[in-house]
Amino acid sequence: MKRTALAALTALILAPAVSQAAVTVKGSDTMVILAQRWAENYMKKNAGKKVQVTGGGSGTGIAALINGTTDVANSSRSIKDDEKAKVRDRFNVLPAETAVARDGLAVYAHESNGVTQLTLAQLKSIYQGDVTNWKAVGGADAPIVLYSRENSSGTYVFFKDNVLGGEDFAASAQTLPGTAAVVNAVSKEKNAIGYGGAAYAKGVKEIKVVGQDGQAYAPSAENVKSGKYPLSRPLFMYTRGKPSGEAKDFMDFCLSGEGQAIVTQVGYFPVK
Amino acid sequence: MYARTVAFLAAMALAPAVAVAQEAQPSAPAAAAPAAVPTTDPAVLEGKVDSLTEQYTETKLDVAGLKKIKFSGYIQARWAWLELATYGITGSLPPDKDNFYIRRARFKTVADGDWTQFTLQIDAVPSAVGLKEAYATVKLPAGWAIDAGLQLMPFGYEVATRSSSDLDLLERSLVSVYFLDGEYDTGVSARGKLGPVSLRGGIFNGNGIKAAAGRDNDQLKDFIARATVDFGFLTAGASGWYGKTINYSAVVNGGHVTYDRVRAAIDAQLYLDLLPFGGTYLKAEYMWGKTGIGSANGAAGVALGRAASGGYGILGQNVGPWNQVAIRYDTFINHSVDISGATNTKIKQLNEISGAIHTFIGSGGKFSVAYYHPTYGDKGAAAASDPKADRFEAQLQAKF
Repeated sequence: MKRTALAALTALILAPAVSQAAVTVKGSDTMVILAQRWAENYMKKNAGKKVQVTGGGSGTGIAALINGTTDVANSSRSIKDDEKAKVRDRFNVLPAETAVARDGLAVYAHESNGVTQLTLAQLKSIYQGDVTNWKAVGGADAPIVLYSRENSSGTYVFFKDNVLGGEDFAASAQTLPGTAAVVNAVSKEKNAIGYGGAAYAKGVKEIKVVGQDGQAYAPSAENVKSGKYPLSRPLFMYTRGKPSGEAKDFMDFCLSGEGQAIVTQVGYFPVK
Repeated sequence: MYARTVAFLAAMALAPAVAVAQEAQPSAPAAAAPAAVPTTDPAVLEGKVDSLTEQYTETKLDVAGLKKIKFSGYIQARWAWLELATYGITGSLPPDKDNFYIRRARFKTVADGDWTQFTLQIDAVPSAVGLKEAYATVKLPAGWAIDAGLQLMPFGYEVATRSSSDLDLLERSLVSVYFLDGEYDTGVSARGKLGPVSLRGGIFNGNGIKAAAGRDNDQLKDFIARATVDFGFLTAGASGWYGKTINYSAVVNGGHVTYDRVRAAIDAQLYLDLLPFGGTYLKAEYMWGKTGIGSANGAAGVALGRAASGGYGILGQNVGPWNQVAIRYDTFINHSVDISGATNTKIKQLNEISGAIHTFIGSGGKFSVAYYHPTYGDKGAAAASDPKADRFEAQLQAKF
C-alpha cells in the first residue's frame, strides 16, 4: 500500500518534468516561420534532439513562460515589468532576454493603392479613425479599411506603442490572427491597410514610412540596419534565467553563422 | 476567434443565397420561368458585407466590454497534523488536530472602467462566507490610483505583496501573524510609482478585518504605508504604521486609556541565477511594534501597548520548472507577555524552523507539504525548550 502511494506520488511529481523532453518554443506569430526554420535545421543537424515551435502571439508565449509550459518564449516586443515580476515570483529567477534577429514592421496596402508614403502622424490618424478616406493622405477617394492584430500580439503592442503613442485603435479596425492573415486580407481588399513583419509582404504593396530626417524609407535591410526606417524592432527569445541545457544549445544555433543566415533567408535581419 | 465569428456570420448570411443558387440549377431548363435575381449581384453582396461588418463591430465592442471583467481565485484543500492535538468531545477545533479542511476558497472579481475599478473578493469556507476585499479605485494621472474600502494592509512583505496562494511556506511568519493577522483592513490609500520605487499608503481603521466584524473599536485612525524598491535581482521594502487605540472595555481613573498601535518593518529579497536547474533566493524581514492586531479591547487587552518583535529568513531553491523547496527560520519575541499563554513561566521568545516542498502541476495547480518545528528560545526554569507543537501540512491548490 505504502509502495503504491509512493509510486503514485513520484509519478505525480515527475509527470510534468517528463513531458518536457523536447525544447518547447512558443510565442510571436511574427517569428513563427523563422523559429520553425531554425528548428528544422537544428534537428537535421542534431539527430535525436527535438524542438517544438508554436505561435499564438508574444503575450501568449510570455504567459507560457510564466506558467512553465514553454522553455523559450519568442517575442516581438520587450517583456513588461509586471511579466518580469511574475516570472521572478514563480521561478525565483529573472527572465533572460536574447535578441536573435531584427524586423522591419511594414505597412501594407493593396498593390493598386496609389499612396506611396505616410508619416507616423498620418498612420496614427488612420489607425485611430480620425482619417477615414485615402484622399486625405494623397490617395483615391475611397474609404480606408483597417486591419490590425489581436492584442496578444507583440506586433500589435509595438505598433500601438510606436505609432499610436500607446492610445487605442479605432473600433473599426478588424483584428486578424496572424500577420499572414493580415497580408491575405490586404491583398484582396483594394482599400485596405495593414501592418506586420516585412518578411510577410508578398502580394501587397509596402508603403514607405517617413523617418526623422523627413525622407521616406522602405523596410529594406539597409534602412533597418542603419536605423533610418522608423519602424524596426529587435526580435527576442526569453528564458527563465540564463539559457541552459537543450534550450541553450538551440539558441546558440540560432545565433550561429548558420542560424543568422536563416534569418536573412526568411526575410529578417541578422543581429550578428 | 474574431475570424471564426466573421466566417460563421458570413456563412449564415450567405447560406440562403447559396441554397437559392443550388436550387436554381435543376429548374434552369424551364425557360418559361422568370429569371431569378442573380445572387452574385455586387450590390446585394456589398450590402451583406456591410451588414456583417456592422454586426462584427458591435460584437467586438461587446467582447471588449466583457474583457474588462476579470475573474480569479483559488482553492486550498489541506490536511494537517498537530503534535499538540488533544482528542475528545471538547477537543480542539480544526485545524488544531489531524484533519481535512478548506484553508481558502477565494473568488475575486475585478471590473475595469475608464477612470475607476471595482474589486470584490470573497472567501467561502464551510464555517462562513466572508468578505476579504471590497474597494473602489479611482485612477489618477501618471499611473497613480486611490483605493477606498476593504483592502490589503500596505505593510510588510508577506502581507502587502504575497498572496496566500504564493507563500514560500504554507503559512506566514509568526511576527506577521501577530501584527497583521487577517491581512485586510478598511480605509483609503494611494498607490503609484516613482522610478524603481513603488509606494502605497493611507489612513485605515487599524484594527484589521478579524476584530469587531471588520469595524473599528474607536474613533482613532492609523496611518499605514509601504515603499518597495525593485532592482530586478534585488527587491527591498520598508513599512511604517502609526496609530493609537482606546480601550473602552476598562475604566482607569474614571476614564479610558489610549495605547500606541505602531509598527515598523524592513525586508529584502535576493534572487540568484547560480545553478543550472533553477533560481535560488534569500528573503528576510524584521518587524517591531506595539499592540497586536485585533487586541484593542476585552480579553486581549494584555497585549495593548506592549512591544513585540520578530523576523525570519528564508532560503529557497527551484528544482526544474516544477519543483521548489524552502527552509525558514522564524523568531518572535513578546517583550512583556508570556508567549505560551500560561502564567509565570516567563517564556517570551518562540523560534521555529520550517520547510516546504512545492510541486507545481500545470499552470494553476500546486501540491505542497510543509513541516514546522517550534522551540522556546527564552524559557522559564520549569519549562521545556520543546513545546511539542510540531505541525505537518499537506495541501493541494488549484488557481485560475
